[in-house]
Amino acid sequence: MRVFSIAACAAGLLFAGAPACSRPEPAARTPAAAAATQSFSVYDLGSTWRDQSGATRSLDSFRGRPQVVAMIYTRCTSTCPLAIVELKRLEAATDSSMGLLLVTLDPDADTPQVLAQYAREHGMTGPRWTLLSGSASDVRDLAATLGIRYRRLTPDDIAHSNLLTLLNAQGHVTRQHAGLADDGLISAAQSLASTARTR
Amino acid sequence: MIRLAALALPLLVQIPAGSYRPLYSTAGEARVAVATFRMDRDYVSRRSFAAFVVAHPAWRRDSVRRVFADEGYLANWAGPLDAGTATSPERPVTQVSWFAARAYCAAQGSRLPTVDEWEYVAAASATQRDASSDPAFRQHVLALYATRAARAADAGPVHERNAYGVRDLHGAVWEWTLDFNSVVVGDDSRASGSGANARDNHLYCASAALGATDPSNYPAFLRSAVRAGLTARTTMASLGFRCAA
Amino acid sequence: MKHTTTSPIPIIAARTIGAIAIATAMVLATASLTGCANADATPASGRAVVLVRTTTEAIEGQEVAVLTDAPNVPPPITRTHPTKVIVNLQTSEKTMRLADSVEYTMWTFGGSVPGKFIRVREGDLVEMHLTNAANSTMPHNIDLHAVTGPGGGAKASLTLPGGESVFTFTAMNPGLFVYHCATSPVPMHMANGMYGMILVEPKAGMAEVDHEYYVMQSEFYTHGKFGEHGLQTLDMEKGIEERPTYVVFNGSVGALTGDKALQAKAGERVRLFVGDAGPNLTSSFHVIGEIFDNVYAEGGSVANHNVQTTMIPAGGATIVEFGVEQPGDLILVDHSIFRAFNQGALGILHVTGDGNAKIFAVKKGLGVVGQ
Repeated sequence: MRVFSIAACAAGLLFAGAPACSRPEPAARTPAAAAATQSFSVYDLGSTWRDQSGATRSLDSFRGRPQVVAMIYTRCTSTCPLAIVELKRLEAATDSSMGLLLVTLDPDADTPQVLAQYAREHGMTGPRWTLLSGSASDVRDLAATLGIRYRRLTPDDIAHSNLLTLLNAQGHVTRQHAGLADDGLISAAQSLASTARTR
Repeated sequence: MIRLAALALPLLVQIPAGSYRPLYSTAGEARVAVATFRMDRDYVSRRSFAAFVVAHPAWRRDSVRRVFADEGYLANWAGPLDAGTATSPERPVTQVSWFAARAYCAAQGSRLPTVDEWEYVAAASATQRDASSDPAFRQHVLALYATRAARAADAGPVHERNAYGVRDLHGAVWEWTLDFNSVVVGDDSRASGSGANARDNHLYCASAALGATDPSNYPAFLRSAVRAGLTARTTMASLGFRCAA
Repeated sequence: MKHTTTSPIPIIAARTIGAIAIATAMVLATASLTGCANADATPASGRAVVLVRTTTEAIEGQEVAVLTDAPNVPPPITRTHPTKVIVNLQTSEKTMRLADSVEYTMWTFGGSVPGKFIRVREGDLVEMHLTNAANSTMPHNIDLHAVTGPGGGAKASLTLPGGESVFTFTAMNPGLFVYHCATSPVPMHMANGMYGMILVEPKAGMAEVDHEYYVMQSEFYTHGKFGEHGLQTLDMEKGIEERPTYVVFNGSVGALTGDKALQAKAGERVRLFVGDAGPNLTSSFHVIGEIFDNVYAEGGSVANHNVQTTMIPAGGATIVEFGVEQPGDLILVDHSIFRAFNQGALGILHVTGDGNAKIFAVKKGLGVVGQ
């Protein structure tokens, strides 16, 4: 592992003497694994969205059930399908007390109809799955609150952080993980789900 | 006199359209076009922000929703509506979150500037509109950054005017931008690798560097590093804002 | 339709090379270590093997690391088992003396330049708590060369003013390692003073000596000339051109001279932990009037003996050991000698006590009147 790490950082230094390892993920104000539950509820953003059925959904309506959240867009062919694979792993590892929430970064293109089609194509059906579209401003607020970075490069391409966020039943961030879901994230999700069941 | 200043509308400077060279080019663009807009001549002062909080109690530090600002929000004030006397009320307001800054600008009928707008104006020296490649200007900006703390202790504002007539972009505090959370990425051709690599966030480390258009632009790297650390709730003693329209 | 990712091709290449290296290492390690119960990078055969290390030892207990400012070093470790070591380190920015009547706003680990010295034992689980003072203007992080992991911890530790980050690592390899800030732009954070050292003592411990000192060489690039009075700021052009204004030991001109000289008595054994933070220059480290009995070159595990001058790479370190036999001032220098004479790279080890005329005696010369 050491060989790879050094190579990665050396490349950063060599090519520009630049942001070597300053990640564009949010800087830690809490332990790096973001294992500590944050003191705020994402649901207090108070915004209103539309789900894949076209129904209006306030963030408040998600209270009471823990959620795994990812922000994706449907024209994304590379990292987003991988995020979905991770969400499905989490779906399999938990029961119905854990919700699975996908929010589009491209709300103009990803209408509720497009999201519904996407959900069918990727087998994300059933009551545990919610796919949300909203206003560009609400998307930005949610992303900025979760520490997700994104930028539209071309009409079809949005570069973005690949971050999975675990929210408890109150909407507090309990854990965040970049890339593949690790055992820690899965066990954290299981423990949240089990807390929600016994409640 | 003081009351008049508090009620005066913020002075907006008309910024002509143009382009600038961003630190990180995207999809091969060397320069990014910026449309004409207006930018506050000055940073938002503690006095102005106090007036906003009085008018909008939801943004008092003792009533703000925690999702909109972390625990440091206005914590450097003497009280919820009292910006205090230890620091001049004409100094920039700091320890404000992105949500709070945005709400302030909305209340003035304006908005936060985008990263592109802010950087476009910030590339101007006192005499040149695009001084981004001028070593003397870079050196001057680095020196301003290095000595901010010492100058913050001074009683009055700094007032360094650039070629557009905008003041104190570099000399006082870091400033919020509307899209501070724009991703930092390499260009398209280098990003065409397999998805498996894209999952590996080690690669921010190098890809961010690889996309840099000018490795000597240290002031821009510093600002970029600050933005990379922020979330919308973050407050910092060295972070304020100004509005645009 | 192409999706934009964040993975540039050079890294894919690096990854592949890394994978090959790891695979090779595994093969080598498996082959070489067959029947070898005690993994060691330098077995009796004398032929080095490549280890893919793992952690199997149980971590017993927990302690908070004692951290010291240069030239002091935390006490030797007497434990014979690995433990969890909590390291509390705070980054801060403050204006400090660079030379007489010359000030510089330094960015620090622990309020001083060089930063706090950290001492742990091979196999320890280190829990690194990095806080950034609320009045800092910049985010900071830490890349410890003793860490096996992404960015040496830098990725996990970007910390805003007023914030804290925590990560853990196991000190897998013994040795003396540099740490530094790796926040963009890295050269600026390092040129402003963000570096220090961490010693990972080998399991077998280190030989007893009478004095241990912490010395770190580094450069400062200021807009004013050497000695120009007032508050100086970074001249990045000089940095890019590798033309330092100051080359110093322990963060300022004169940090190891006069009252602040290192001390020893004739007949004592001295160990220096010497780092070179750079940001640019390699040090030709020499102690005028001594010969190093042992040099653990590059901070590694093999001792060379009877060395006059040892090279310390930027971002590297070395351990030198010697007995002092004669009273007087031993002079620490970078033997790239203009740096010592004109830029500040000079320190004193003051030796008191009685000498041995058999080792050194002046018989005739300008300093010897009336003999």
